[in-house]
Amino acid sequence: MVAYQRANRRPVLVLLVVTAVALITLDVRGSGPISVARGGAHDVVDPIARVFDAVLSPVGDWIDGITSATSLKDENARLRRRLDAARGQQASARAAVEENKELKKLLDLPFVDGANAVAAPVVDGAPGNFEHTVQIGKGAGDGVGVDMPVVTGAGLVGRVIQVSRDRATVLLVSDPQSGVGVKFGKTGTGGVAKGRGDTSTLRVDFVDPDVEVTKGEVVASAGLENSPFPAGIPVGTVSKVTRALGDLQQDVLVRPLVDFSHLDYVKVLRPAPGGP
Amino acid sequence: MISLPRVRLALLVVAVLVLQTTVFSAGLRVFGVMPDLGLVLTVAVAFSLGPERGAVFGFVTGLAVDLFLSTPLGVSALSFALVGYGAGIVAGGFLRPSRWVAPTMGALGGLAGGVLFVGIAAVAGREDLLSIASFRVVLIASAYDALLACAVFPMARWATRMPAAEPEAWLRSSTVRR
Repeated sequence: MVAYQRANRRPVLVLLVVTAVALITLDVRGSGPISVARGGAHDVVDPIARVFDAVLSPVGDWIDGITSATSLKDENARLRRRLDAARGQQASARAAVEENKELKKLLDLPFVDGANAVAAPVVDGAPGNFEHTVQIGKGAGDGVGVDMPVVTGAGLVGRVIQVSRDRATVLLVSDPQSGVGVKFGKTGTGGVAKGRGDTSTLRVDFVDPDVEVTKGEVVASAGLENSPFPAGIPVGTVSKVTRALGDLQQDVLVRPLVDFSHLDYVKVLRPAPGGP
Repeated sequence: MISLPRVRLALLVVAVLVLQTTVFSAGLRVFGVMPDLGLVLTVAVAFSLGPERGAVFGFVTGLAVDLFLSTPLGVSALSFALVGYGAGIVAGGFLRPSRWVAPTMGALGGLAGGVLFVGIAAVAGREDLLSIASFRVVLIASAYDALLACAVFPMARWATRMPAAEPEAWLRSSTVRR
C-alpha cells in the first residue's frame, strides 16, 4: 500500500521536473514571452513594493547597521588614521583634481555632460543572493530600455537587463554574467572585463601578453561594435598584473571606480535620437 | 471553486515576493546575505500538506521568485519543488511536533534548497556559482531561514487550515502521509 502511494506521487514530481527543465532551456535560449512575463510580474509587484520600501526600509537599515557594527568600529578607527594623513596630502590632492580634469578630457567621457541621460534613484538591491543587480526607480515610461548603459559620475555601473513600466533592473559589471570590452589608457590595447562575483575586482581577459600594462592604469570601455557600452566610460584602475612566460594572455585585475555597495543615484544613457 | 486555503497560500506567496524584493533585498541582510523566504514557506507548507502538494506549492512559489531573478526561469522552481517534496516526506516521519521542528526544518530546507539552486544554476550555464563564496552564502542563508521558520511555520499552518465546511473536498486530493 505504501509502495503504491509512493509510486502515485512520482508522476507529479516528474511532471514538475520536466516542466522546470523545459522552462530553463527556453530561457537560456532567449524566449520573448518569458521576458514579457518578467516585466509583467514587476508591474504587478512594484506598486506594493514602493509602499513597503517607504515604510520598512528604515528597519532594514537599522538591522544592517547592527550586523556590521564591528566592522564599522574598525573602519572608523582606520578612517581617523587616514584623515590625519589626508590633511597632509590635501595640497597635492588639488593638483590631482586638475590632473583628473585633464585626464577626463583626454578620455573624452560623453556621459559627463549628461546630454541624453536619465537620472534614476537606486531603490532596491538584488532580490537574490547569487546575483549582482540593483533596481532603479525609472522604467520604460521614462524612456529606459534593455541594454542601455548605466553610469555614475565615477564610471560604469552596468547595463539594463529588465524593464517594467516604472522600474528597471541593472546588471552590475561585477556580476560574472557581465562582460565589457575595455581598453587600457596608456597603450590602447583591448580586453574584456568580467565580474568575479565580488564587488572589489574585475578580471580582464584576452590582454595581449606582449603589451606593457601597469598598476594604477585607467581602464575604460572600448565601444566595440554591437556592444551596449559607448567608448570612453571609465571602468576601473589596474590593481594587479600577472604575466607568466608562455601564457597567451596576461592575468589582469581591475578595481572598479564605482562603489557598488553605496549606489544612491545613477544615470541611464539613452542612445542619441537618430543614432545607432 | 477556489478554496480558502488556496487563497491564503496565494496571499502568502505575494507577501513573500514583496518582502523578498523590497525589505530583504534593500537592507535586511545578515553579513550581506538575505534569507530565502519562499523556500522556508515551501518547507512549512510541505510539512502541513505532504510531499506532493509541497512539491506543487514549491514549484509555483519558485516560479514566482524566478520572475524577479536574473538566473534562468525555472531554477528556483525546480529546487523549491524538490525541497518541498523532500520536506513533505521528512515531515511524515515526525510522530509529534516539537518546538525545534520549525527551525530545524527551516535550516535543512534552506541548506538543501541553496545547494540545489547552485547546482541547477551551474548546469544551466552559471558555473561561476560553484565556489566557496556560494557555499558561505548558503550556510548563512540557511541559518537565517531557521530563524524565520519560527514565524513562517505558524503562518503556513493558518493558511493550510481546513475550513470546517469543506474538509472532505480538501482532503480528497491531498497526499496521504506514510
